[in-house]
Amino acid sequence: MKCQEVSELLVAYLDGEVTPSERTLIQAHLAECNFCRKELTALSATQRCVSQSLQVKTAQAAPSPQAWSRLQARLAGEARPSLSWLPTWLQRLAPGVGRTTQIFQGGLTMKKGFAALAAIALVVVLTAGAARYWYPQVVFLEPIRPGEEGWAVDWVEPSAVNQGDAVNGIVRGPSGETDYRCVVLLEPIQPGEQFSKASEPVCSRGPIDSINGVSLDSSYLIARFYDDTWYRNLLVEYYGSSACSPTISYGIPDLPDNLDNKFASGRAYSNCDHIHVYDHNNYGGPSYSCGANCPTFYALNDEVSSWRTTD
Amino acid sequence: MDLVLRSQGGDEEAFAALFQKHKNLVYKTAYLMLSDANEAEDVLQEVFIQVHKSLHTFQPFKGAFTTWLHRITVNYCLNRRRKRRLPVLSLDEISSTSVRGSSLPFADQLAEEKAIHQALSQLSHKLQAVVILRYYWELPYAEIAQILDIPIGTVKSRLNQALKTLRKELGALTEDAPFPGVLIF
Repeated sequence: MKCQEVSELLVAYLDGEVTPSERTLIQAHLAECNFCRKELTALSATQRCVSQSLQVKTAQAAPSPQAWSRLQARLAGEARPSLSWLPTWLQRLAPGVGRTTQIFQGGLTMKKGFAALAAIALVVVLTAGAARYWYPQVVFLEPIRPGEEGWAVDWVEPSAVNQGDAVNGIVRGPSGETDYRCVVLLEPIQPGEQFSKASEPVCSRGPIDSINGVSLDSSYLIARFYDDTWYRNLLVEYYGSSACSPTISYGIPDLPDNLDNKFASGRAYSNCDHIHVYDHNNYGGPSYSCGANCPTFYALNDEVSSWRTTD
Repeated sequence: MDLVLRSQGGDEEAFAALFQKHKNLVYKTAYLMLSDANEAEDVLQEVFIQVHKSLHTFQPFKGAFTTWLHRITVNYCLNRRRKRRLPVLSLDEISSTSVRGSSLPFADQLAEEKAIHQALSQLSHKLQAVVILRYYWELPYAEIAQILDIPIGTVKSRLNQALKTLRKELGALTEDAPFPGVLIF
């Protein structure tokens, strides 16, 4: 075993998570290599520091004595009559115990400060009008201020787009990847539409040559997205029937649960020279655009919910 | 009968006991991931509401109840952090504690603690989650993989990446630290 290979396994070795044969090879290498022995010692000390630090941090952390009674009250509240007679968007604003602040702090994106004020009025009206269903409750909401989470985020202007990356050229046929990942076949975005029709994903370790009977031999590799930065841990490969062009682009407006908020890097191929990723579904919220090779999506790492690729 | 099974059968007393038994697991994980006692308290409530709602979907033959609970908790914390972009491991909270067993003077202990917390806070959400599950809860890689719904190889690579990043950040703290028993031949 070489130092590089051993280095990749040292943490697992310390954690007792290597195979017996790996263990033997690592120990043989360590007996000969002073550099790797030092590395092992340092990593072990790091583990110990981290472990102690986490223990210290939680030494006095404990739930409040009222935690169970609060939960009981919440469970009783949840069991009250449903609000199905209300339109969906009004149901979301219904002030169930302890829920309203959550909606306004994390669930809705206020584009203007006055939207929050309007929502306060709505909550008051709902609370009064539906008193027979809910316990009376006073809710104080603060409007979102410029710069705070939830305030309108500027669109990334084309001039700010990173266009310096090399393009990846036309790539056709199955990729030959052997790691576990999913493959999805896309149709180009049709005129007047905003998204590509997508096949069900096929996920497997080893070659994936066709999807729903459609051979990938004549399909174009459109994009790959990875779980980690710098193209590590491939999650999904997207194929399309055509390469990108001024009139042909691809996009997914709502990533499925197993891919939502997971992407941290991506690459586009087949004349698709730009990747655009978005925090929210339907290409909404904060966005980031880059060339064909995006080793990181920066603030949107682990946040991407929709994406597009264009020529 | 098992508390989970009884709770699945609608036994509220069993559910109360289940809460008391596992509240620290949820609270402490949330506290480590969100670094805020009020947030951790909210997560505890939300997670057990979720558990109460979906307990009927839990299938014991697929894994331990605690694995399922960890999974709900970690996902809830990750989503909460995404929405609110909270700082992690705030430095203000460290002053009341010290490194157990350390022979360093108090000021040095505090500096060391702050350095470690700062280094941890630099890690991405994904790396922090594996670090907490491994080095706080001491879970095996296979269980971490199940909780995070990722392959074991990814757990391995994330821990490797996290530890090496931390080692680099902590520098002198780990370079010179003697640790008897590390080398096993």
